Amino acid sequence: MNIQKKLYPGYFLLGALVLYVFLYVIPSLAGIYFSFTDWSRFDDAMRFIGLQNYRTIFSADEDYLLYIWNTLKFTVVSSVLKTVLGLALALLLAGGLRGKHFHRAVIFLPSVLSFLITGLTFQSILKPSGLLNAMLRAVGLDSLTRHWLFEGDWPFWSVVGIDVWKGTGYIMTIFLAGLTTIAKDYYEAAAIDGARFWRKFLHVTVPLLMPAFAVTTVLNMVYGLRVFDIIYVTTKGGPGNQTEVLYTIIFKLFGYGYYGVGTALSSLMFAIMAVLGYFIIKLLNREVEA
Amino acid sequence: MSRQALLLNLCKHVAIWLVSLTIMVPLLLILLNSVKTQGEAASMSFAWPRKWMLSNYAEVIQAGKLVRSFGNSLYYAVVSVVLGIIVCSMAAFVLSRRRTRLNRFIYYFIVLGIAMPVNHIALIKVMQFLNLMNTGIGLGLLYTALQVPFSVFLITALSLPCRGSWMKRAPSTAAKASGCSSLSSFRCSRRSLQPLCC
Repeated sequence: MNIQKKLYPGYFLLGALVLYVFLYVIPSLAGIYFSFTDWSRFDDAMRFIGLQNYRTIFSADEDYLLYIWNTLKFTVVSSVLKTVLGLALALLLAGGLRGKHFHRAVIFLPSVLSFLITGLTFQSILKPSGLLNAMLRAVGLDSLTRHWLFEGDWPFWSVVGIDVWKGTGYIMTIFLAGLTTIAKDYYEAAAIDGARFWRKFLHVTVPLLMPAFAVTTVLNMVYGLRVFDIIYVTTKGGPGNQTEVLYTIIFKLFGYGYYGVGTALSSLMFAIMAVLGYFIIKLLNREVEA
Repeated sequence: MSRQALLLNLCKHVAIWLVSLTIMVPLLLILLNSVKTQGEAASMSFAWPRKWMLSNYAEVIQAGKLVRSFGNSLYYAVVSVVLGIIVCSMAAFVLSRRRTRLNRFIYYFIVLGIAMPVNHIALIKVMQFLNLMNTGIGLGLLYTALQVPFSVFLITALSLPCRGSWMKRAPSTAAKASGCSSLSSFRCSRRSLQPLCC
């Protein structure tokens, strides 16, 4: 125990803890307190009103539940797509494919692009006279052309598509880093036992990639629940409120001056994320903690 | 190579090129339209520019005061990344290796921050109270603080001693190995852990 104490002294924690508590925890807790008040732009006094704001959120005559549903749907769909695609690309590019460095660089490129530029570019690609429709017409698929950001369910899927386009490269990079650390011995041993691609994948790659899965899942989940920029730039939550998510509506509420309800929504979000995050970390760390 | 292997290789190349092209087309679109006149760029098409407007770039750099803003961005990036790596790796080093009850609690307390929504108005009040408002240092410290939860989570995930893949490369025995006990903790963490995490 003494060596432990000497090797890993408590004061190593101080720097991170001090910064974190003062510039992160205190402002967040204050925000949670504000969610129990009627704080708004229209009234200088701030009164404690208990759970009133939360009642507003869950009442049937408001659309907040739809926004929560949209957020969760976006999170799950984009996380799954990015993980599957990212892993597939990482597996492809980890081997000895010719030009793999070029492909890795290209696929990573969109993640350094700003959301604003991505959004504006895709707005012009997806509009009725845009590039996507032009390409579809060029190959004779006129029936598939549409206004991607306005018709039916397509706005949601367009936003998901843009997000996957932008985010997959980053996830791929994490998986690539994870793949390079798996020793070749495991694959050789599996090959001697007669394992083909799928069995090697299921029994060697996936278990040894668990730490990477933990990181990408938390990353994707936190990003998805907090998604704002990409939706705000491409659809502004529209058409109507079809693609409205929690952070776009919180942004609008603050703009209108309803600070109380806004902070209540973001506190609710915190609760959702904390619970989901706890279970995900527990689940994925089972192997790691052993 | 057998015919089957050749075919598989071909499939791989076709797939990866399809993905790369999907990624590249919008990027090329941005690049091509950046050298068009305002009127031509409005349509955002792949038509070749009628008049090459390389002056667009000069204008953006001047009107957007890009040199100054790039300098500022660089300053905040360097400050927050350097400071963040130092404090977070120190914390993660202890948290991942000395797993006492208290340290476990501190770990979850910090990682919980990944989900916490910072209230910006309360944040401004705190920064005013600490005399950090409107200072370069203050903003640097703020950006560092904002990345503490995720950095600690990530570095701990990379350095936990266990049979997972990444962990294998940073076994805790390395820290306990010869010499380490006579080194100070700083040097120990620098020598045993950080090279393995890089």
